[in-house]
Amino acid sequence: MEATIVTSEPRRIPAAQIILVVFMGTVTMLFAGFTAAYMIRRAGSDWTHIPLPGVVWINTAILIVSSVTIEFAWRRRSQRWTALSLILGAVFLLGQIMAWRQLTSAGLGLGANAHGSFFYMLSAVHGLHLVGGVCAMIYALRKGSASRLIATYWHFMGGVWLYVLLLLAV
Amino acid sequence: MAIEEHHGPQSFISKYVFSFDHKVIGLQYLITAMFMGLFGGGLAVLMRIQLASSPDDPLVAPETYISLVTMHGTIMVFFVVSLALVSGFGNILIPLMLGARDMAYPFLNMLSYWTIVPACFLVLGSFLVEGGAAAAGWTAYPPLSALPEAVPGSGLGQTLWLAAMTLFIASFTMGGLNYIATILNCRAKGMRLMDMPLTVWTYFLSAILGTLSFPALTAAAIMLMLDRHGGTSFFLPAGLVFGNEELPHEGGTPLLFQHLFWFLGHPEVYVLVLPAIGMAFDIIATFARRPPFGYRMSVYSLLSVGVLSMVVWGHHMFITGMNPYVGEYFSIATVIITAPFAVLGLNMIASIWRGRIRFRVPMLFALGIIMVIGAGGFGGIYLATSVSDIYFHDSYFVVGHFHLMIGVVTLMGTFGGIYYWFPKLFGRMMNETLGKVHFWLTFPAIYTIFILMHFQGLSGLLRRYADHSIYGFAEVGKTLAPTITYLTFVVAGTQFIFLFNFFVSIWRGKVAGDNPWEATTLEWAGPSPAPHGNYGPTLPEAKRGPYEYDPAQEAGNDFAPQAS
Amino acid sequence: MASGKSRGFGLFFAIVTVAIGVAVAWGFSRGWLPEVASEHGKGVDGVIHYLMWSTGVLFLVGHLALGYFIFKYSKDQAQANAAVSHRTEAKAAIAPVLAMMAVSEIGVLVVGLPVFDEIYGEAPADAITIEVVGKQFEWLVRYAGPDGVFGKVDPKLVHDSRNPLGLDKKDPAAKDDIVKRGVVTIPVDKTCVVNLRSHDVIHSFTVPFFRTKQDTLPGFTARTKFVPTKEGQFELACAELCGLGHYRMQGKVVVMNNEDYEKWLSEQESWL
Repeated sequence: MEATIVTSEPRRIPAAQIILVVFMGTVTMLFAGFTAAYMIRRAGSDWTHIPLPGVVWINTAILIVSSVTIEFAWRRRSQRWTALSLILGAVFLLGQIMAWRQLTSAGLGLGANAHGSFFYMLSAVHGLHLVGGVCAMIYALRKGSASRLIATYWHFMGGVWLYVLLLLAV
Repeated sequence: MAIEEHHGPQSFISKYVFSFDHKVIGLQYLITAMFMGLFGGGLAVLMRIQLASSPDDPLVAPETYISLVTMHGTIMVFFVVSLALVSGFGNILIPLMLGARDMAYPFLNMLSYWTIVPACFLVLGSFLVEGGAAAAGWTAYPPLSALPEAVPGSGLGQTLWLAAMTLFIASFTMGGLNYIATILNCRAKGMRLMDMPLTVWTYFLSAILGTLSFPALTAAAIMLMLDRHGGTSFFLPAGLVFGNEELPHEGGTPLLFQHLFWFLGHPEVYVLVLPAIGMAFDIIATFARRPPFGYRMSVYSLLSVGVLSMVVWGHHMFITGMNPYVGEYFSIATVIITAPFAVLGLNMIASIWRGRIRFRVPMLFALGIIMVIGAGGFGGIYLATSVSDIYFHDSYFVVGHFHLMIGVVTLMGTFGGIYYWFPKLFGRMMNETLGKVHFWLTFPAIYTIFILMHFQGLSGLLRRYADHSIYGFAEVGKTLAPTITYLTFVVAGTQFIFLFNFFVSIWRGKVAGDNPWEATTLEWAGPSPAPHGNYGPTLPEAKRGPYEYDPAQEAGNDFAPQAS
Repeated sequence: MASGKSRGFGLFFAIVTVAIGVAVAWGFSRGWLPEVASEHGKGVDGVIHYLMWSTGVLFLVGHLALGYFIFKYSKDQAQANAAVSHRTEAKAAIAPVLAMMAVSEIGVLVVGLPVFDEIYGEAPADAITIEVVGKQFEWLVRYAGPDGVFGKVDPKLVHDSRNPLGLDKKDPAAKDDIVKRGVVTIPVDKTCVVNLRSHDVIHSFTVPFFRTKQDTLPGFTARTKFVPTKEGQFELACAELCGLGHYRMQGKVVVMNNEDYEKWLSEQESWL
């Protein structure tokens, strides 16, 4: 039997990148599921839109800035810019908790209103995934600075937040 | 960083407990699955005893019976079949068949196993809490699953169920990511995707399907948890009355949960069945001494099945009250899947054509798989056709169908795989005679059980009933129940022969050579048992296709290994 | 492996394979279906019988082929030309694809669609409409009464023994509503439209002899219809897991001739 001779080597994408891309696919599908739930619920006759707590817009601005800083961090291989991004991320998360408190003290707890329920839930799930990004940054800081992959993930989660905000605000 | 060549672990803990070696992790999964299978199978035996008991003297209370039903399904689907076939064998086989030393991320791999262990504790522990284990079916539809008032199991039991499922999904996702990265990145030099064994293809597709569809269940589980504990109303409408009081929920839709659940639920069954199909092809190739018929068409069929599986979930929901025209779409789409499945089935049959069959134990199981795919596949058409499904929905016809596909096909695949790859893991053979006894007692019995359930379904017998005695409409089907129960005892008892054979052979089995089956694929290119690192100092290269068998030659000379 | 042993075993396994094919096909052909007592039910059985024949034939053929190959190729002798070209393998896929698509889509679109229409299409003008509410663990049946209008119900007014449906007595239309526990009474040969609701969890209204099944979802009113073709009593059961009493959520459908039905209806008292 003759050997089938293979002449070319396929170009390999780094494994870490594959994992990130697939994981971003997973997260996308998660928020797609939530979107379906939101759309269906929104179409109900008893839907009442609530005003989003003001601090949410500040948090969003902070998150956008942190995407800028993390770009500097990986391109310049800078520990400082990484630390700054990490701090901004933490501030965003604390800000989100503040937003929840603002809502609750206005009488809109978790179960009080459907729109509100989605706000709590979507911001919480997003926040949990962001915590993962923060942990990745902490880990990266031990040996150096944020990698391009961490920055990609961070931008992705920033994008998810903008999407969630759009969904909730419109 | 794809793979590190690390020198072997030294301590007992690093070698056998928190191991990074894919073979050890795979075995951990496999043995955990066997352990959970004792529980899952035990629950089945209890259910069958209940169904055979007199209604005046039932084995268990009705609320307990439906916990048995629920946990049997949950444990078997996720903690036995998925654990054994997808996580267990996937881990063992993928690096070996690709000619790699390990998975792309051994640490992530270890983490994925140890995430499952607490999940198992949660699942088993849920039987001991107040209210008992979850009792809303493995499908966990709200409002039944959302309200402790509705059934005792929807108290703490259902919460533990949701926690366990969250851990399971996290574990599966970690594993799925690892499989995809490894298959894309760690193939031996010269191995293009179309040079991979079909088993690896099926794992590739299962991993992609799973990672993309589990999030829907995650979303549903989060919302269900919030409805249960956070006062939200994602799935709970207004007008729910318990104890003459209306509950304070409003605005939610129970149907939404079903859409999200089945968006996962349908691809999930293909995640389970595909590896068994891949393994059947590989085992048949080795024991018919010829390449699988239609490798390429089989790959395309597997891809089609994968894609189609994501757009047909509504066939579980024909009579839920969703728009019946949407239902018709799902019906038309679902039956399209019969086409690639028919190609796969016929390719399996044709993979014997012009072969030279060796009737070793793995081959017996593989031949059994072909037959069960036929029965399960054809039976599925009755359910996929929306009009006939009206009659069969929630009947024993459904129970018979899905057990054949995700219970029997997968079990035959797991057994066949264990007998086949045992020498690769342990350097010894399992006892052939005991293996044949295992097959001839298990296969006819388990096949008959679920075919008889189809007949019960035809007679109208409904599922998840603790006792059928007050109804007369399925009288004919009820007469089959005692036979099914006796056969269940046969199947359950026989598995102890298998477990005995498995564990004793690890230490006392006949010593095997490196390639006792004279197989071609790369896992047989290294020593048996496979050492840490799989291949010794030099990794194999894929110099040929994966199945260069030639039945025109005599034994010993009729194959060219992929590495040579 | 001695060729003699393999051959014998090959024959044995081939016989087993064919026997399984024949036994299963024969088993399916036995009359398991209970009698049919509705119009569309005959159509449902028609789809089932169509599938039994078409899939049965394919199933048998598959087992015969498998059995034949197992026997023929259990002979330990050299086989030439086992591997064929990609083109041949692709061409071999055409037949199963076409066969399965034909069989299954004919089932859905040709045999099934007319029946689908009977179940989900418009009801005729002289249809009787009733309402059935599923609750743990019984069926509540409501008739609109002489005014032909179903009165308002309010979940806050629900009381298991006094007012199981929560009829609002402030609504004049509710005053003449008739409520029955567990028994549906309808005339033969007339379309019966059933509006289905639930008070607590998902149930499913199924009458096996009518080949009728429809889930009752809380927060939603589902609808099904059927035309009973035989007089008599037919069992009503629940077909969606609803708690510990799921297995005993029994009701019955009583089908009378038109005269008896009108008489029965006129004798019923309203609930309120």
